Amino acid sequence: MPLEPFRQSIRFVEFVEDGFPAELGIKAPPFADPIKAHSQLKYLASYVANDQIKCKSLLIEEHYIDRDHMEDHSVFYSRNLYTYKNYCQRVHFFGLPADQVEKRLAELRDIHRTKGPKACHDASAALSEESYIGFAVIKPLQGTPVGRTVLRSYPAQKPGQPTYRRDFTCTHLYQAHVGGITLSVRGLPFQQQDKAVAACATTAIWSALHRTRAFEDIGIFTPAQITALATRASLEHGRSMPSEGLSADQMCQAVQAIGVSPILRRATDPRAAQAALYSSLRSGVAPILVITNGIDFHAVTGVGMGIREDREIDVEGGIGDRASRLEAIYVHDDRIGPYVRADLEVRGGPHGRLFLRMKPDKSQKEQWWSLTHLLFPMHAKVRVTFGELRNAAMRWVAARVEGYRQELEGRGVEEAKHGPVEFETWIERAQTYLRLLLHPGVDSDVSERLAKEISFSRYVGVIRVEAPFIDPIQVLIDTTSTERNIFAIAVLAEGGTKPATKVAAGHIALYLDCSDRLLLPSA
Amino acid sequence: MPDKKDKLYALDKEARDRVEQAAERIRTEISEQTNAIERSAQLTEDDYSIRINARD
Repeated sequence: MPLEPFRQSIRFVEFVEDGFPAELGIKAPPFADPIKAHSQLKYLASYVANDQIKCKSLLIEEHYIDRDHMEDHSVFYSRNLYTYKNYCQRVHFFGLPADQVEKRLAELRDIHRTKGPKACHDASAALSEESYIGFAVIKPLQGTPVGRTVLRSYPAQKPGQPTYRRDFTCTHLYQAHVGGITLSVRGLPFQQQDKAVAACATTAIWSALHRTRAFEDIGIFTPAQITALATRASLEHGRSMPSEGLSADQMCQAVQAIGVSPILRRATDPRAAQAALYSSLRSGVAPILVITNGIDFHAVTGVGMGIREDREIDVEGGIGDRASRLEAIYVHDDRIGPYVRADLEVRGGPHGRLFLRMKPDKSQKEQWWSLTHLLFPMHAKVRVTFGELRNAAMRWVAARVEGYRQELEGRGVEEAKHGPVEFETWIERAQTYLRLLLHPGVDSDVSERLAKEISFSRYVGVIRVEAPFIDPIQVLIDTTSTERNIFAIAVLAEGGTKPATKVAAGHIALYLDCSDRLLLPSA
Repeated sequence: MPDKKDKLYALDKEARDRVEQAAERIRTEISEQTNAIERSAQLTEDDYSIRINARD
């Protein structure tokens, strides 16, 4: 039998939303409803066609070796009677017409020839920023073709909504090498479930752990490996492959086996659940949301958040939780597609639950899913949970600031008459935190002293409190400590424009045994 | 008049006690809700055994 020859073929074509599956040579499988088939592929096409993304052309690589598919193929598809290819297509999306993309890529190769790699690198980065939307691996599976897909997220501002801000905190920079040129896109990998090596639970873990890899050196893993790790110790709900779904326990087992600590929390209280979601996304930790429609349980991965700045904040005891401004989250839902907006709503009265309302497509009905559990993949040395950090923030920091505000209000201080004291919490790698503090809004003396005088845990818990009568104050928490023995690394004031700031920060530091690590602006 | 202004915001021992008492009242108010949340959020075996398997 002769060896099948293969060769690379790169095509540049104009993008047409309706013709996207046909352009890739994909037709509905014979045992599938042609309307429902390829819904994720159609979602991808509508996403990149959106006015805020504006795809104009495609670059299609006909022969692409994808690590995930190769692994899936080796453990599953190679054992089918039907011969599946072990290679994929890869399609790149651009915001320029096809002829311009072809020309610009040729120019980049010419820049490398004539001006060297640094000039080519800089020019490639400029092209990526200007017009590279990302890529999708198209697997040779007619029924479930969408493989590893990394697309640019929506811009921060939504047209016509100045008070709504999107923040895709769980995305990071990905590189794609095409015809000798390196292009880059900021996103988080997505793929659809194939119901063979991966169901939704596996895919949600796969996406979430891709984010973890951005700041921790954990091993490379594929959906097949995640499913195998999850089902190594028990088969609660049937065989491992074809995947019949995972239990929450199996999801935790898989996360642990990859070298990350699974923190599972029940989402009983809607406000606490919303706060945990906010803190996780604010921290850049992609949370896995377990949700139910009353019949099935489903898992999706949180990628970003939508904050409504003028939304009325939830206030309790004079303390407002910034998390209550979280209007929506953006999720990778392997049944639908990447960056799906899910509005958050509490339903069922004061003892109700937090629901996600999704409307992926104008032609589809709204979908309501109730949040039941949250799974956070965390570094093992982060022992303080988001909930514990929030409790510490409310009880031991914000309550003191509010107590001081009441004292000043009693003395007739005008600016202390207005509240609320607003707080937020997050957990961050210390090195990232220190870099983010280097901006004009934070007094340079404070950030300099912080960099030179303070010892940090690998991850730092940040409690940030602000109110009209003070400059923002931060309390930094050692995340290697535990709930009953929380250690405050430092207390700092971001600025010194208001006289109450130093007194408030000093009072907090005194009671947190942190007076020798109190950082205040010098002037 | 920096001294007068400083005094307006300063906390002596008695004022610190008042601030702490106010903070304690707020903590008590918050605690009732927090404790209820913590009790209801305790994980059981049932939580770990739910089957996550929604189809597209």
